[in-house]
Amino acid sequence: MIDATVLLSSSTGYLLLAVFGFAWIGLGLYWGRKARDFDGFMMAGRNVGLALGSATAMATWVTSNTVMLAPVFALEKGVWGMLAYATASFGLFLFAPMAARIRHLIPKGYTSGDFIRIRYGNTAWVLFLLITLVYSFAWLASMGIAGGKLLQTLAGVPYLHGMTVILGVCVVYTLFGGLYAVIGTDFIQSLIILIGVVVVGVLVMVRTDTAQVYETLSTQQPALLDILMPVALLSLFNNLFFGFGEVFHNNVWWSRAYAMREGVAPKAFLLSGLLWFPIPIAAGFIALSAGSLGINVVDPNTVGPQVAGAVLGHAGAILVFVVVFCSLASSIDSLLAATSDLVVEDIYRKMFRGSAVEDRIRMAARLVVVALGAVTWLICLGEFNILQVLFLSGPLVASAIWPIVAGLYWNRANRAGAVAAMIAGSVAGLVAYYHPKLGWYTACLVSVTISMVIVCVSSWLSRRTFDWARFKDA
Amino acid sequence: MTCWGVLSRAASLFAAGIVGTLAAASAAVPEFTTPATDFFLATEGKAALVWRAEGAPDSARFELQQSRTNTFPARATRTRYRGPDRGTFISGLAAGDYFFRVRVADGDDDGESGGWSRPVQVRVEYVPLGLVFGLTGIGGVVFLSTVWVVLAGHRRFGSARSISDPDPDPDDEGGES
Repeated sequence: MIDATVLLSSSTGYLLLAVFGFAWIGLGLYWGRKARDFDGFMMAGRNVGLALGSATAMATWVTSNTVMLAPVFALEKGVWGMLAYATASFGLFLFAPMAARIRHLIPKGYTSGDFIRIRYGNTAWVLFLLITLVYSFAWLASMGIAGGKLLQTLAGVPYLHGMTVILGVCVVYTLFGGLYAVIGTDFIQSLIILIGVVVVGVLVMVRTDTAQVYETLSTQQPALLDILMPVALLSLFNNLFFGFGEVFHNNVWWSRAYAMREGVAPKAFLLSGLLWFPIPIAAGFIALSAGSLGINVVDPNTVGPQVAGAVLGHAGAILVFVVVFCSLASSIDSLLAATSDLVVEDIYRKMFRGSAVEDRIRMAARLVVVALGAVTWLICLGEFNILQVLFLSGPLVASAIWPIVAGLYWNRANRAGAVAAMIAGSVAGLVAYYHPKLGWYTACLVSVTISMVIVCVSSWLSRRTFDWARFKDA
Repeated sequence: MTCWGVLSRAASLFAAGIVGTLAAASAAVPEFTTPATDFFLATEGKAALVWRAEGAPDSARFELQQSRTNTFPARATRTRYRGPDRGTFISGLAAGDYFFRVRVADGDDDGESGGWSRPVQVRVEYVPLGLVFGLTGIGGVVFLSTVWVVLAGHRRFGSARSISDPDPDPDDEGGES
């Protein structure tokens, strides 16, 4: 039986944190020199090419959840669970044509809020801002908590230290470099993540006998191979719609659509989805191998690093540490930048300071980045359950799917339908989340279904059509 | 004291230590702390089992058994885990009843082992398949509908065409100014 207690020493953990922390800050400051004006800071000059565009989309979507939760999904829900997690890439696939439409409608846009405000009016806009801010904080907090817990598990770094360093490093280089720094560091992080996950996955496969893995699962965990495993089937579409909601509504993706060069966005999102798709499958396979390798899983949330460390030893633990650090940083910086854009553009500029000069707006953006980091840090002190924090926002974002999709393509999608869909979908999804029979793995499905019905009926009943030229005039 | 006396004394102390350790280990009967009760309903086929053993040394090793009946007959019982951990996570169980018990086990299979804990019963009961199929079917319809709207819209508008709708209605409804 393999001893599953191979971890890094805390001195190694601190050393890695210091090396990568300073390296990322240095790179961020270097790339951030390009951000000479407001568009440069927020939109990286609206000139990001295919390679950087694909890399930043993929790296942002690879979060610590991808590396840590995908194995949990596989361990708890088997092969379907692994595939269910991988369906989150479908959001990127479908956003590819949507990005082309977004660029066409609002070529000089800044945020997803711009679209909602012009398309549906102020009421829907305020509601949308509420949803996206709740989700953004939930995502940021889940990353911070995950970072602290992972560093503690892998290297014995105290939770408070690890969480603070992760957030602090990301705040610093985002603060000074803006979207240039975010995208530049994302490119390197995406390479590290891809190589790291592939290496770990391949080495685990080499060290395991696939037939033995199957045999062990068949005898000890037969439900994981059952194609009719109920909870796995339920999580399939729920996870898919959570992914749709996250990608379709959040400014992290809209800001990238705006930042990419003309014609690049659709290809970049498609390519990033293809690159992302195998990562949760590789991570999931690692978890499924635990039983055949004789590894006793005590905490399912750490099964991925536990198996990698046990199979690959010290080097494997370092590799997992580096991959996790990169996946955390690549998502936190994107969220900080995009949420700052949203708050500055939609709240500061549109609601209060319409005539603010560029320097003042840029200063406001920087202050918001710091404030976001500080609020997130405070939330992370609570050390909440990551899954509960993140998936509670699922019904909220799922309710925005159809208002956005219909808003982009249907001229009869209307304000009343959009507002009703977001409210009713969110409420219904939250009810399902807490329902004893339905559970959290049906919440997004319930939310998007209710939202879709309302949008479709209201659009069908509407006699008015929207003039797309309003986007040009705004 | 002569050298022989010192050596004898050291040997007897050492032997007493081993015997004492074994005695303490074999006297310690573990109890499950998770689940908190003797019965646990698992709706997702998973369960976390955590146990403690008062009086067992930190180096103690444990044996966890799983059976389909609470009498633990040899032919229907298997060892789920043997090692120093004081917990394990079980997943992927098929529907039905499972019983688990744990004891302190000597590292050597032929050595002394402690008494068994009170068994805990884990009942795996999944959501009815009818409900699952219904919700999955709804999910499929919503998914295909969403994909259809996006792809049909992309085909209709494309990237080279004007953003204006080909048949604009003069009584349009838009965002509030």
